[in-house]
Amino acid sequence: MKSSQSTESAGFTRMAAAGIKLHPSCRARQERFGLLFYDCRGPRLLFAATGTLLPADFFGTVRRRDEFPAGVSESQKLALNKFVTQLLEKGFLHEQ
Amino acid sequence: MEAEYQAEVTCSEEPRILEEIQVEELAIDGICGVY
Amino acid sequence: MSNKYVEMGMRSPVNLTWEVTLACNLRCSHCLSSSGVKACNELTTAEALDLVEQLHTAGVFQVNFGGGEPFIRPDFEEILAACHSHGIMTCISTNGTLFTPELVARLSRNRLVAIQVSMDGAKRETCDAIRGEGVFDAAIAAVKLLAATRIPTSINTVLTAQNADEIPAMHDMARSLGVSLRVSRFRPSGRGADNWESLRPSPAQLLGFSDWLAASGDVRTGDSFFSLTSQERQGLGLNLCGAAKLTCCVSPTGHMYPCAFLQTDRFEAGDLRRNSFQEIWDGSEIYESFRNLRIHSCEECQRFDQCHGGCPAVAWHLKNDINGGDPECLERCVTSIADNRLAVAA
Repeated sequence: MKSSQSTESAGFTRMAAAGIKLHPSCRARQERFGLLFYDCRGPRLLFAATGTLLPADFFGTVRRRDEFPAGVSESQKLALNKFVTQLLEKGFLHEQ
Repeated sequence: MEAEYQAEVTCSEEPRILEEIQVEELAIDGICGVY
Repeated sequence: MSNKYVEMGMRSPVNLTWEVTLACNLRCSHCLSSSGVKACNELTTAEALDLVEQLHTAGVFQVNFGGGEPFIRPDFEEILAACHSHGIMTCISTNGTLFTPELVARLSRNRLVAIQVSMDGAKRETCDAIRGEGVFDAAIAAVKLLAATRIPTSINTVLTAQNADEIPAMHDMARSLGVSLRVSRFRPSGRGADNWESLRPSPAQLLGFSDWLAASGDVRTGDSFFSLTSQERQGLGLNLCGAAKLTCCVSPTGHMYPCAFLQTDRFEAGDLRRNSFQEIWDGSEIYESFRNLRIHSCEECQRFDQCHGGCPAVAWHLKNDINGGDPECLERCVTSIADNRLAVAA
């Protein structure tokens, strides 16, 4: 995962990312199983069994790393945190 | 590595999130073959 | 890929093939849609733009444009622009003969464009025998123009008996031009049906190609060869037919079909002049039959999990049986070669 901490090799300290957002090359839509992500750079798809936990446009705006829709339980937040990490690693989300 | 499968999914029910959200990736270099 | 999400049913296609016109300046002998003369009653500009709106509403991610030669349509760039305004990725299959530096410059302004230039041989004479005199040189010129831009570009080759031995050289040629190679399967539809026997690769050529593909991970095939896919390429794409599940086809006249190789009355899913795109996707009995299609005759095969019976379109065209299993799958190629050896030995 890309670090949001300092990048010493670049000779300066980067500001911590304000948040995360869907990568401009990616799209998301709601399906019966959850969210379907598309990345036109592949192209590739990512099927995510999120059910209705996250609206398809949730990552269309910048979100805090730990920001999730209201009503999500603590255990669901844990699962969503891991999920967001995966989306960042796979390039479907990026830091802003 | 794909996430360990821990969500229950059926055609008629919403997925019930347990500990991890299952994800699967698919390369789709022109699904229909010609274009 | 386990397919379980695909089998749950998508609310709309992930991508679709849209043949925007039947008009073409070439008469390629393997053309899947017998392109040449513009079809009567092709979608008007207004109808095409309305369809783009419908695709956007449906959530379609990508449109693969073909024909015919798409750039013959005077409004084609307008249709592209409408797609781009909604963030829809556009992949254009073209013969490249109409490309100019000005056209390429306009196309390169948008990052949602990818282009496949069709070529059918590493040698001029091989390519031109299939596509027409002078086409090899014109296509190379187009690829060079495109390679100088940021447009993702590939050379798209239909594997035939004539060019099977030149595929590695095409791979080298694509690399030397700075683009990728994509190989598509020859299927017996359109003029391809008329010239099937003379163009179809032999089982030995198909097997040889399968082996070569296994060692050539950067060569793209879409799902063309999932029926031949070796273990080495598992995970690079679908292992089943995506028609009516993840993709579909729109004809120049606005009729919808499961795929580009099944554009016949028997497989018409709907008419966009009568019903909306979403209505047809959701309600077509033809689409439903493809979603429920199970090739039971192949279930005992050791490779069933890798191809699920292969391409129904080939089964239909060659055996008139959509449930019949792909006659050119890897297993049948191996069997065919073994049978021939036995026959020769006897």
